[in-house]
Amino acid sequence: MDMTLGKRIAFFRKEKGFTQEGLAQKMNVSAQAVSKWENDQTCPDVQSLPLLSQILGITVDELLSGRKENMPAVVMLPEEKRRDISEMMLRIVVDSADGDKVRVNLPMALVKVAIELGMEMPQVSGNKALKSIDFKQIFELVSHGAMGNLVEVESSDGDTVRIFVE
Amino acid sequence: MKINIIRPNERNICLRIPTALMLNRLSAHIAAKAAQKNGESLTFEQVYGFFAALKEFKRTHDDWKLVEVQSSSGEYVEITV
Repeated sequence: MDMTLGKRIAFFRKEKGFTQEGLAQKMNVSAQAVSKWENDQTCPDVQSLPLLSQILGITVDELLSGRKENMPAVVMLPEEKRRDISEMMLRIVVDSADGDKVRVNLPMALVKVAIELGMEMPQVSGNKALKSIDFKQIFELVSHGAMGNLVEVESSDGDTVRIFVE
Repeated sequence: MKINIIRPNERNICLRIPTALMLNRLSAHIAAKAAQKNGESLTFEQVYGFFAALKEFKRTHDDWKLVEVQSSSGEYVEITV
């Protein structure tokens, strides 16, 4: 999304169906302040970015850079099109029902070393859904050419875990 | 390693810790002991091997964002290796 920060705030605010006053109230600032952010006259305070992104339902990174977390569909690449596994990144995205968000970026090279050393992959959060994921199988899948959104789990608590490879 | 903590209405914390200080034989011993205390069967060799791989990866991939956590209460933590 090639926009300024202000335009992105306006875009996501409208997407959420908030008015400038509504967002201002949630942020505990004046409506004029929100208007100035959206017109790129001023920027929101750094400390308020986590709250702002949470209200807008996006990550701070997405708010600042405009890069949407892409969840590519799973594809099986033929051998000639596969990249070196050590250049790939395993991304773990955990969204809890409480609104907590965890993003972990693990290089596949490190996942490989951990598996070779007989280590269990660290528990990224106390999320129940993540405990049952077999990282050895994920590594096997990737080494056989699987790319994209490999795992998507939604627990009964409403937590979601997504694992994808880029 | 850089740890950034942003809390609403509080002072931000940015910790810069030399990677060598975090990933060495002593910290591998401490990490293995701590894991064993918590019921994980991790040995020093496993942890130190993993640290070595991590340092090797860091050499080629500078500014790699390992973890990003955003809590529902507005706190934000980011660990960049």
